[in-house]
Amino acid sequence: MDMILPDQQPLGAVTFAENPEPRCPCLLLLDTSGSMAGQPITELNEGIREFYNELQNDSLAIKRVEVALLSFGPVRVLSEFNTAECFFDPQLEAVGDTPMGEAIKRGIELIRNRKDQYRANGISFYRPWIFLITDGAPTDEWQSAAAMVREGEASKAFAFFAIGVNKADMKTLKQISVREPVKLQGLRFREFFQWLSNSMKSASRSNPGDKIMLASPLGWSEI
Amino acid sequence: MAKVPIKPFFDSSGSRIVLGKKIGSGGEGDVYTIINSHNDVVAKIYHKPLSRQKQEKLLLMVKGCNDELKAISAWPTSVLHAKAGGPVVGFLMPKISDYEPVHKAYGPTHRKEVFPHADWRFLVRTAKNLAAAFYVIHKFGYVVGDVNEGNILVNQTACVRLIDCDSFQVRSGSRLFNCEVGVAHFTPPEIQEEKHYDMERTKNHDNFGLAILIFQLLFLGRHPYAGVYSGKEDMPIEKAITEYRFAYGKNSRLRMIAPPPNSVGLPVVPDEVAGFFETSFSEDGARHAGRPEAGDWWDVLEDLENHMRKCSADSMHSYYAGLSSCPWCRLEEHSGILLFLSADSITKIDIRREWQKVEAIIPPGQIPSVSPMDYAVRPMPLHPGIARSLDFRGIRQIAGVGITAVCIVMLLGEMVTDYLWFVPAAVVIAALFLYPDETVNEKRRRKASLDGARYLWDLWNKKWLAEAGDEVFFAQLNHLREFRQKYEKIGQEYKADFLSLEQTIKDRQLRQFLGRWSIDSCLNPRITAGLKNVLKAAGIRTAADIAPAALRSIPQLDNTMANELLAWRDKTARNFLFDPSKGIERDDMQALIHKYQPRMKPVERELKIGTLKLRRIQEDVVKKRITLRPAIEKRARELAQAQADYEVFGRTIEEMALQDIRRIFNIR
Repeated sequence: MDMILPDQQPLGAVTFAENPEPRCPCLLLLDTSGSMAGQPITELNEGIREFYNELQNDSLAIKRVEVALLSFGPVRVLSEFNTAECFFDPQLEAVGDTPMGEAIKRGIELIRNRKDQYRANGISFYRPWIFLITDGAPTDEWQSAAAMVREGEASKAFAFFAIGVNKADMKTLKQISVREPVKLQGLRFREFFQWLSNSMKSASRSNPGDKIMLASPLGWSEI
Repeated sequence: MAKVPIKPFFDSSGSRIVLGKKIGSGGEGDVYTIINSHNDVVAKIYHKPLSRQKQEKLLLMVKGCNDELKAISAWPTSVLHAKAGGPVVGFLMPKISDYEPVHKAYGPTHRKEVFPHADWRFLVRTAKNLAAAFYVIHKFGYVVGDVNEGNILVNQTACVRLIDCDSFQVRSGSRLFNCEVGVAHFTPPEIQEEKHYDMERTKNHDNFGLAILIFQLLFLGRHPYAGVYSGKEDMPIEKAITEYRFAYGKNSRLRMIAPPPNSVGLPVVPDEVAGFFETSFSEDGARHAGRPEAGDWWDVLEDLENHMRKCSADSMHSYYAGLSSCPWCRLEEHSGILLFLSADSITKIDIRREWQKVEAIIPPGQIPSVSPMDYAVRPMPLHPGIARSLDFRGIRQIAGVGITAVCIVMLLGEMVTDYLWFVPAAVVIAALFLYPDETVNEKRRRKASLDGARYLWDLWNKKWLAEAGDEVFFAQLNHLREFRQKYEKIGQEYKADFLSLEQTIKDRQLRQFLGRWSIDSCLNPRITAGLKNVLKAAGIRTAADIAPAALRSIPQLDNTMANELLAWRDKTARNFLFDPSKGIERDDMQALIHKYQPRMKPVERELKIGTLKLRRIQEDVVKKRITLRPAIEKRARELAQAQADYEVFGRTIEEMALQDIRRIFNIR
């Protein structure tokens, strides 16, 4: 009998056979550098909790949207891609510096691996979304990461969005993200995640090949 | 919060319609209950004014409404106007309650939650009822158009209802009212690549969506075009549809696509059903009216229903009787997932037997010790010149130390008056110590080889301990023990729940039994007929009513009499026999099983996979102890040799002094 031995999986992890719905992957790259300490990190944690909550309350999104969390400063994969059923409360702490370049590269690798799993398991998927949320400037080499973002966008391997908080270096973000980076209004993480869950919900109902239709980031961005 | 319109609306006949609660909300409009009406009608009110075209379409649909359509869909029964004679702003339709979207029925996860009693028979019935619904829509010349997983609803008895009917395609003579929407996963290849859904939709298009949904129902939520594609590029479902890459079809290999792992193939359905799928998803089907129609599907599914069998191992497994064994048992065994909630037991494994399997795996035992200390090696002899030089160096250094000592003694004894005397002595000492000789290169070489050997040893020793040690084995064994505890804990909780359920049933039966014994049948002479009347007046008519609290409230009873009555009740109760066959209702039992089974399944899976993993670890460790052994031994020997080689230099005075310093300050 050809039995595959997977590595440790959290209890309740839904296998593809139990839930063969097409997947809508969303990766959050979260800045946990020292400057995020205090109010910002609290609001961010709260926002993520809200985000999961929203997704869990939607019967189709809960089967289709998969979220992965990666924090940087230092780079840590907090949660691999999982449907919102496996809620993960990251309880982020703001401590390190801002190795944004490494985080992006690691994130792109996560996406690549997940897509391989989808393919191997005959699971259809939507174009993955990457959201970079930062309040600073990269402290490591980011040019090669930016090149990977450009390449990924060009080949439609994923869609990359950059969200700047507070004194984020919008100039560098502009060089990393092909799409125009968006500045968060104050610390409106909650509003941002509300918007994101709504966007994920409608994306998970759209047709996988459709152009990404995002609602205007009203209510949380400085546009 | 959208405000509730309170102004009345008017239906086709001009009657006033007052809206109640908002019960649903969509992109186009909201759905409300209706005040002062039967509970079976609701109203949809559009957000925006409707085009003339759309108003006409709704009027036509209302005109075409009949009982058959109303029975299977939320068909518009009357249009609504904001003012009499004004434009159409909404419509009335039958209320559909206690139905769930079809995706909750075909996806195993949600099915187990929302339709816990559903087995494969239920899914086949749902598919058949879906075909029946499409049959009615098509019979009256309508086309659904926007077939998708959200606008088809299913209830607990596998009945199907279609909603969002205002998007259906309607034809009236030469006039066509389009369906302008669609969902790609259900859109046939012939119109898959169109930019807009503004073409005329046909029954044959609908029949594609119907075949997809039937497939998803029968194949546990799998989409027929989602498979493992062997090409390099991405193969989204839309593209697979356009290219006819039916993952389960007989030509799938040619189309470079295979069914996903942990899925069942077409053999689980009869040949006719399989043939229908093949046609529906092939180029032949895309030709004019090429796909099986709703009525055809109904026939073959009806036939399948009449040829089903129940699995002997699990009564919730029903399958096509043409198969030699239960496909669900095989898939559950293979994938480790629970496809259907079982009605019989919360677990499918025998923990004692599983644990015997664990215990049969012999621990690899202590790791064989390999250390450089085990090797007695002879240092590589020094080249004679270097050896001489080293000896001479020794003499030089002893001389140097001697002179230094003499100088210090002289200094302390104040035997010297002029410190300048020490200058030549210092020069001589420095020369004795620092004069370069041939040993330096050799020492450096041996030191480098020692460092190299130590580095390699550390590396390999780490690997050896990690891979040939028994830590991983015991970690996994402990992991299994934890899961065994979890398994037993769930089992105990289930048992406790079961017992309390049984106790309630027992109590109920006992009460019923005692209820059959009127106090008139109490033959104790102290309980007189008069007293019995008092008791009856106080509501104590049968043995079941006798309880200490109830008796205390009757003043005519003294303690002795009360005790006599209680004794009579207890004596009567001794004749009671619990009848377990009339015990726990099947529904109660199933609810209990359904509560515990989903918790048990992942634990079972961890236990089974974990046991296999433990065996693999054990085999791996044993194997590693053999394969890694020569390598680790080689490194140990090399380090021993390098240490011995360097030893010669390690005995020089400065080396020993350095070692002392290192030891004192704990530097490695």
